[in-house]
Amino acid sequence: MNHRQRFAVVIVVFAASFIALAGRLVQLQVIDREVLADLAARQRLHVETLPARPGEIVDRNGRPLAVSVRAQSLFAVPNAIDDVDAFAIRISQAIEIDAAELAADLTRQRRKSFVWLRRRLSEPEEAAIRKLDLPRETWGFREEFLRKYPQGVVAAHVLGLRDIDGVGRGGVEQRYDNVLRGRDGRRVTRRDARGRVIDVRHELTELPDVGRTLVLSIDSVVQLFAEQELDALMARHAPQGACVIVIDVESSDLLAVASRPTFDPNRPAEADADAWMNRAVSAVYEPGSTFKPLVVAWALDASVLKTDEMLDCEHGVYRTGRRVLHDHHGYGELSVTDVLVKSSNIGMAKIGERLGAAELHRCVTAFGFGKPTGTSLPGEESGVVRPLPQWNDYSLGSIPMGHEIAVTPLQLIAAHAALANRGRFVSPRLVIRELDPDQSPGRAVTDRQRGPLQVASRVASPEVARWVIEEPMTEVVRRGTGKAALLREYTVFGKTGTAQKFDAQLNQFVNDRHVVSFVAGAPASQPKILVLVMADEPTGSEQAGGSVAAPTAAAVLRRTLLYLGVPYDVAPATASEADGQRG
Amino acid sequence: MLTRFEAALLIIVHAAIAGTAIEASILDERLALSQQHYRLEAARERVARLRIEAERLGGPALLMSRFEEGRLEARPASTGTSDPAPAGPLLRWRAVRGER
Repeated sequence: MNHRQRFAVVIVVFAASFIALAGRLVQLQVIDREVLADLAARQRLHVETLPARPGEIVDRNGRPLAVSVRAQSLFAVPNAIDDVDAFAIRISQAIEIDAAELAADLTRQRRKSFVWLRRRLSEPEEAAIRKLDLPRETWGFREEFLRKYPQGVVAAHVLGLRDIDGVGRGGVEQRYDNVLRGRDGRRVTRRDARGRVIDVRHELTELPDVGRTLVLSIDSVVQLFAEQELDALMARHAPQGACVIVIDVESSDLLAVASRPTFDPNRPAEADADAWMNRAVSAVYEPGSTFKPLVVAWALDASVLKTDEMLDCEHGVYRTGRRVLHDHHGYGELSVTDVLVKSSNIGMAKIGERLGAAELHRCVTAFGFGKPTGTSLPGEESGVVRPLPQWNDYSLGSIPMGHEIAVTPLQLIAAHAALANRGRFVSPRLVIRELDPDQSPGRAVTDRQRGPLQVASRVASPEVARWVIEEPMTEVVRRGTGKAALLREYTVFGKTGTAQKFDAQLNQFVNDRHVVSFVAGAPASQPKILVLVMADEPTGSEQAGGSVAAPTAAAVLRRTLLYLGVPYDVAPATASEADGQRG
Repeated sequence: MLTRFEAALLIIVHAAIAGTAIEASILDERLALSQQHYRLEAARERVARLRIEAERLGGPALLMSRFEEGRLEARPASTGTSDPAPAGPLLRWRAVRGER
C-alpha cells in the first residue's frame, strides 16, 4: 500500500467516524430528543402537589361549622431504615402506636420508599416526633389539611365529614365536594443528584385554588336547641332512632336538622354503625294522622268539603267494600275540625271517598311526596307513593289517614310548611349560597339571596290553608291529642301521628311497635316556625305522638321563637288558662 | 458592509438582552405572586385557627348553658303582648332630647 492509498484509508476511516458521530448526534438531538429531555427533567425536576385548602361551611349567621387547618402527616422510608425494631420503638414513644405491629408492617414493606405512619398529627405529636431526632432519610412529614368541626356533634348528619384522603363523605361535604374541594396546585423544584432542592421553578409552579365557602340555612343556635331536646327525648323514651327538623315557614329554610343516634365528625372512628343514617331524609315511614290535615285542605280547596260541614263517623265502625274501618272511640257526627281533633279515621275515609282516587293521588304528589325534596343530601329517599293504577279498593280509605304511603320526615315538614305558608309550597333549602374564599358570609339572609333552584307552587288557597291552621290544627293542640305542646307565649298549631310498624317476619302490622311523630308550628295567626319530631319505636308505656313527640316539639318551638324574637301572640290571661289546661 | 453587520449584531444583542430582562421580570413577578400566595395562605391558616378557638371559647354549646343558668344576661323579646318593655326605647329617648 503506497502513501496515497494509506492516506485514502485514513480519510475514509475519519469520514466514516465523523458520519457515525453525526448520526449519533442526530439521533440524540433530533430523534430521541423528547424522550431524553423528559428523562433528564425527571432526574432534575420534582413535581410536588400543593393541596388546595377546602372551603369552609358556615351557618346562616357566618358561624363556622367546618374549617380546615394544616396538619403534618408522618411517613417512613422503609428501605432507608437500618434497624426497623429500634425505629418502631422510638416512633411509639412519640405517638400512640403499637411498636411490634409497626415493626412488622415496616419489615413487610421493606423495599418501599414511602409508607404512611400516621395521617394528620396533632401539634404535640408533631413536636414529639421532631424531638426524636431520627435519621433524616428514614422519615418525613407531608402537609395535609385536617377538617375540624368546631360545633362537635351539632348538625353532624347535615355536614357529613371528610375522610382520611380529604374526600367528602355524607352530608353537604359529599354533595358539595366539588365546590368545597378547590383545585390542587403544583410546585416544580430542581434537585441535585442526592435529591436536595436546588431551586424552585416558579415559571412552572401552579398555585392552588382555595375551595369555595358554603353558607347553610342552618342556625347553629336553633340546631343546638334541636340536638338538646332530641337528647332529652332519647333519654326519656329510648327509641331506636329519632329526628327533629325546624323550618322557616316563609322561606322553607331548614334551620335545624338533627338525627339520633349520631356521631362526632371530629372522631368518626368512635361512631356506631347505625349512627351514620340521617333519619330526617333516610327514614321512610307511614305518616299516619300527621297526613290528615293535608287531605282536608285539598278536599276543601277542591270544594268536595265545606268547613262548616258535619260528617257521620258511624259510631266507630264503618264498612267500605270488604273492609271494616274502626275509630279509637265511637263518634257520631263530627265537624271537619273535630275529625282532625279526634283524628277520626272514618271521617277521613269519607273525605277520601269524596275526592276519589285520581284527586287523592294529585293531592299526594302536589304536596311533594314520592320524590326527593331538592336538598340533594346523600341518602335522601323519595318515600313510597304507588302509581295510581296500583291503588286498590282499600287505598281511598287508607291514604287519607296516612297509610299505604311512606314519607321521609323532611317531605312531611315541607308539606306542612306549605299549609303554614298560606298554601304556597316552597321546596326546602339547605344551602343558601356559595362564596368566594375571602368573601365574608355576612349575617343577614334576605329573600333576594334565595337559591334559584327552589321550586314554588300553590297547593291550597290562602283562605283554606289559613282555616286549616287556625281552626282544626290549633284545636288539636288546644283540646286534642297535641295538648302537651301548649305554650304560654304562643298559639301553637299541630298534628300528632302514631303509626304501627310493619313486621316483615310476621307479614303484618304490629301493635307494640310504633313510629310516632308530631308536627307543630306557631304563631297560628302568622306562622313563622314549624317543627317536626319523629321517634322510631319508643319504649315504655307512652307510645303516642302526643306524649312522646309533642313535648319535644313544643320545647324546640318555644326556644326557637324566643331566640328569634318572634312577638308573643297570647295575652297574659290566656297564657294562664293554657297553663291550667296543660298542667 | 461592516457597519451594517455591526448594526444587525447590535440589534440582535439588544433584543436578546431585552428578552432576558423581560423574562427575569416575569420570573420576579411569579416569585412575588408565589410569596404573596404563601403569605395569604399563612393568614388564612391563622384565621382558621382563630375561628376554631373563638368557637371553642364562645360557641353556642358553651354559651347556651351559661345563658340558661342565668350567668349571662338575656335580651328580652323586643315586642309582644306580654312584654312590658316599650318598643324602640332608644329612639324615644332621642325624641325626648329633641323636644328640649
